[in-house]
Amino acid sequence: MKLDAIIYLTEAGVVLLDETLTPITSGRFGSGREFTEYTQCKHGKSTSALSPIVEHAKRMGITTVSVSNSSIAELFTSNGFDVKSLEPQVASRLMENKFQILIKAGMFGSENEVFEFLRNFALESSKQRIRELSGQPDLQVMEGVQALDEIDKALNLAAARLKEWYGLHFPELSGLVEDTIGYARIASVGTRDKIAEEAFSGLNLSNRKIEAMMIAVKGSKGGSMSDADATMVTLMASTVISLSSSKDRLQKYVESSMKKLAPNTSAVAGETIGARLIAKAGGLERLAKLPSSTIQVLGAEKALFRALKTGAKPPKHGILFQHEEVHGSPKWQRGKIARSLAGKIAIAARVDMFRGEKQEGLESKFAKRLQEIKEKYKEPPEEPQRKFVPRKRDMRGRR
Amino acid sequence: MEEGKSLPSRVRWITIENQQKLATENLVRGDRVYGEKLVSIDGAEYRLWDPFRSKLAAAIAKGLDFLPLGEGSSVLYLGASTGTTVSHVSDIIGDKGVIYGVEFSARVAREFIENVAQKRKNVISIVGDARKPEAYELILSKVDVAYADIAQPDQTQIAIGNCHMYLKKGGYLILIIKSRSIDVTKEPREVFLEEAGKLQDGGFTVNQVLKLEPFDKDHAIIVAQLR
Repeated sequence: MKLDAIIYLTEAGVVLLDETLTPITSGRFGSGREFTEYTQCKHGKSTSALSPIVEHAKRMGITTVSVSNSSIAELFTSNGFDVKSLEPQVASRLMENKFQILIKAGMFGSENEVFEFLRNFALESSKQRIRELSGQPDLQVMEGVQALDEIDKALNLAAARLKEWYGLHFPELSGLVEDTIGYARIASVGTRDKIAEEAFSGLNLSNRKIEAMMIAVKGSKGGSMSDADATMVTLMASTVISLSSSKDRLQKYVESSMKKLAPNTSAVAGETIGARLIAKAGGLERLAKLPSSTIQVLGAEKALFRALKTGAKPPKHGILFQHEEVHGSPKWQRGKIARSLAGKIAIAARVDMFRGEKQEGLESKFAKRLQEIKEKYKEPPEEPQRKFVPRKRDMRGRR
Repeated sequence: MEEGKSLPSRVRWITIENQQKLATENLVRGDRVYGEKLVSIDGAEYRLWDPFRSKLAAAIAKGLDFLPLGEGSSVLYLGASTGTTVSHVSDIIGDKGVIYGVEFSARVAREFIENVAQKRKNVISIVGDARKPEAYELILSKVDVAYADIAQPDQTQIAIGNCHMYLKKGGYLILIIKSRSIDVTKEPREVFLEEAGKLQDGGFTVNQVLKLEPFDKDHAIIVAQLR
């Protein structure tokens, strides 16, 4: 005689039911361990809650079971049962009667108890899901490159402010020392009278430069600065040096992380630009799913939506403008180069996301196309002669 | 501000400094979710509900004809975000109701869990993709109301899919439409009517389409009933 039964995998444990959905027996997950054991079952691994079910089913002579979740099917076929999947109407009825089933199976005393349990289970499940999502490696690179760009902005602001501030006392210095770090090192010495030849060591300045500096120190147009003021300037200078050092470290971090995370995208676009693209897209998977036309204009959203809304000329490049082969090429070639580059990046990102290994040939294919463009479009195109019509301006002089 | 329309029992207008402000009765006395003001009236505590922050409050402030929520309602809320609006719906449905808050992004779900899901006993948190409602698992039974505020181009389709799976027949869908998410080049009015059309085709009877200006630009709320 064939006896059919239903195996219902719930968050609290596994329930064996007959065709009328009456619980026969159940295996409760360990108290406090429900989320772990439930997840194990979802992955097809057995837990101690299952053995009593299997035993009982065998003793009852049950030969066929319908399982609520296909992941536990294997656990029953391996025990000699015939396994079917649940019909949708039966699955619906199980869901609607979950409370009653769990209470009748003896796992809970009341509906309130069941509800509270399931709510706590939901919290645990949500937290676990958040842990998984927050641990993805591309998130680290995204934060890294955004930190890099922000520190760079802060560095530029601080360096400019330092030049203004110290320029009150030694204005000639900014013309003599172009390099930010060099300037900061000298400014951190303090008032001009303290600046001696040693201050310039290690800064790679020519002797001629150093001579010019010492002359400038003597005859400077700058005003006086107290020791208290000089202390603050030194503080600004150390801030600049510290920001610059952080920027360098972040740069190296982004480069090495990108090489590991997305070797193909790094090879085609460059590590930093690649990281910026991933950050803009919202993750490597998102970047990999984008069409190349979108990758081409990532970062030029203002111009893009303006063009879509008003029918104006669309942007040819966004973040990709930063690529040497784009901004370094003549204007009339840039669009074609950006388009080709975006196409190769799209492929590279997909390989990185879905295969994860370096594929040879992507950079060289781009380099080849780059050559074609540079050959074929060496000369600027003929521009049709346009009648000069001055653009109208409004009352405030704006176009 | 409309006062004539009837509101659920746990929602009321409160007069503060000669201004009418919307508020919901606090499910967790003394608790603030996002820094909102708490007001005590007749021994009950209310949380002020800002129509500029919460689109549902904006809809009520603009005179929504019928709000299908009340004590004991079960709600599927797509796009829980940090839980600002979820917390007010949680207030409205009271401790006999249940609200399943679905959120996709870990970054905001973190805050949703800490500020709302953990403290409110009628909130069940689901961190998952609204495009795959079959994967939610913890929905206990079909719900009375589905609320969807997800800025995606196919938001209406996503909402319909969720409703076919989890909304009771005769239940209501409250859908927030952000016209720019659907098509940035079309006129908002055109987008709203198109989405309402999709609902009709999807088995719903549309009750009302209401624009949310001045609280939200190019947004509308649609209340529809599943036939």
